[in-house]
Amino acid sequence: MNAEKYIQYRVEDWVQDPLFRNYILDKDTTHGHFWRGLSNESDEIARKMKEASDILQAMSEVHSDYHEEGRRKSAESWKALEQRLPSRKKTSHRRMITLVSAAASIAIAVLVLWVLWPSSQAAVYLTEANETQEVLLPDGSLVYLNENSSLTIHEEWQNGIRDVTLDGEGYFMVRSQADTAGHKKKFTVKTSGLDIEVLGTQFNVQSRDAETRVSLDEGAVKLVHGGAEKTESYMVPGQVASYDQKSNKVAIIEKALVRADELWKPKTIEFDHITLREAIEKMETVFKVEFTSESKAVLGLKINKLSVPSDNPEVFIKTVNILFENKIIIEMDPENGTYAIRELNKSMDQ
Amino acid sequence: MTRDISIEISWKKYISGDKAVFGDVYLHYYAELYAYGRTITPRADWIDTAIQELFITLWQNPPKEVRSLDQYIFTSFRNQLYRTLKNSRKYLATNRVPETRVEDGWHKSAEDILIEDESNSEIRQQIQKALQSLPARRREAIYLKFFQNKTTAEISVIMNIREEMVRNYIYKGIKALRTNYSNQQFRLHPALILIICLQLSGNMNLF
Repeated sequence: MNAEKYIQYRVEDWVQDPLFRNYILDKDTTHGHFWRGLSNESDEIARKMKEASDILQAMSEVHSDYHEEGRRKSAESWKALEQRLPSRKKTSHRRMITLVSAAASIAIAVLVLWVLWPSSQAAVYLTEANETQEVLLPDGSLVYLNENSSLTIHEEWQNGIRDVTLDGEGYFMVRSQADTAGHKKKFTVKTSGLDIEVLGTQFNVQSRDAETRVSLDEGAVKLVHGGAEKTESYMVPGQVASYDQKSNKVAIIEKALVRADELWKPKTIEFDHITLREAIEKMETVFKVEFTSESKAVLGLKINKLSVPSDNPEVFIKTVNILFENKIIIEMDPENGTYAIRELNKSMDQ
Repeated sequence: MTRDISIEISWKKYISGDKAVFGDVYLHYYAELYAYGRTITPRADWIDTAIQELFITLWQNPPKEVRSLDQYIFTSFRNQLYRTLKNSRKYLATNRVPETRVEDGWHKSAEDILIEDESNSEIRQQIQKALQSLPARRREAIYLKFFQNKTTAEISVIMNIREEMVRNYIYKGIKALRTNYSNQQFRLHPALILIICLQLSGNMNLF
């Protein structure tokens, strides 16, 4: 790369330079060494680079907010549009079906509205065929919704009651939370006929029609079922509980006896345009590890896109160390097993 | 942002009338078109309407042959959104809707950023304010160039202006962000001087 050209650069040129832009926005460190060298050349160059970097990052923040906003709205917008799309091939027979189905969907809409009306404040997440969704709950817990599923977050969340309703399949990573008195607060997954109560753990729930299956990976789970008279069952990790609504009975089986592909778990954890602080919170939820940081400022570092396996926290640590090579380093503290984030000497931020 | 070929294939399938595939194409483009729309107007509802109208038209009259799907969708979306804006301006003239809503959109994003980053927030917020007060067309050109990685030629087609105008918009856009930046740096100086003066006078009183 030709340093001469860059020494002559004005701030406007820096902002427009595609390679520099990749370095700042996509954290493409291919030429990281070169950029750092240039910034050490003179204060004047470092100042220009810093200014260009601020402009780029300021714009990027706005645009990733917009993008995120769009992503949140997209599914709902498609639902609205789908209703409006006319069928392409219009035979009279098909038109009749369209009419009938339109009438049916209005009826269903009215019914849904009527059912959901009392809890109009509830938030509902829906997935369709071949679609999964990650839901971040207000307490930092994560739910991975498998296809054709719905998760309802109840209005009572506002009053500190952690209740959700699941229809379909979801993998839950629940953060333990204490109330003001220091007692652990329970988290309840309601399915048809069965309530699953936990304090902070990881488990899979599959609830289709009258059958619910719970597979426990860690922690402890209490199952509550039955009508007026509640029956309670307890599970330990490695077990699968199967509940049948018709007989109102829970059967507990060892996980080894269940086919592996029947127990679904997200393979990767995705990070999409979030700050290091948010990423760490997510890591703490998923892997039950703890991070400490001396500097608050470094937690504001941005991660654009990152995908790590859900069974190993080390990949995240390694990637972040490469990503912010000259800014921070994350190391495991062998004494207490926490990850310490240390800030390195800043060469770009003078 | 790289776009995969699978979308081009999906596109061909959708032309044959597959609603589910059409949905995939829709979801694929929604967030990006939405973000693009937000550089033009803060009215989320208008942007959504424009995207929906565009895709209804695409569904009813699918283009027979498209050289670049991306280019086609961005251009059509922009036309559609500006049409919506024009219509709503007419509507606004007769039915006055309070302008505050527009303001709210901007303020909210500024707030979000505050939460996100403490270290650099002041400078960045200044830049973001400057970005928001830019003429929409400059913001648009910057977005397409930097965040959609479009070439100047492509932007000139989407925005229906000459290539030198595109370069001009981008250059002036960045420059406006800079002017603000240096103003802000400058404004710090008198404040510093005042503090130093106060400190000095404080010290003098001691003697």
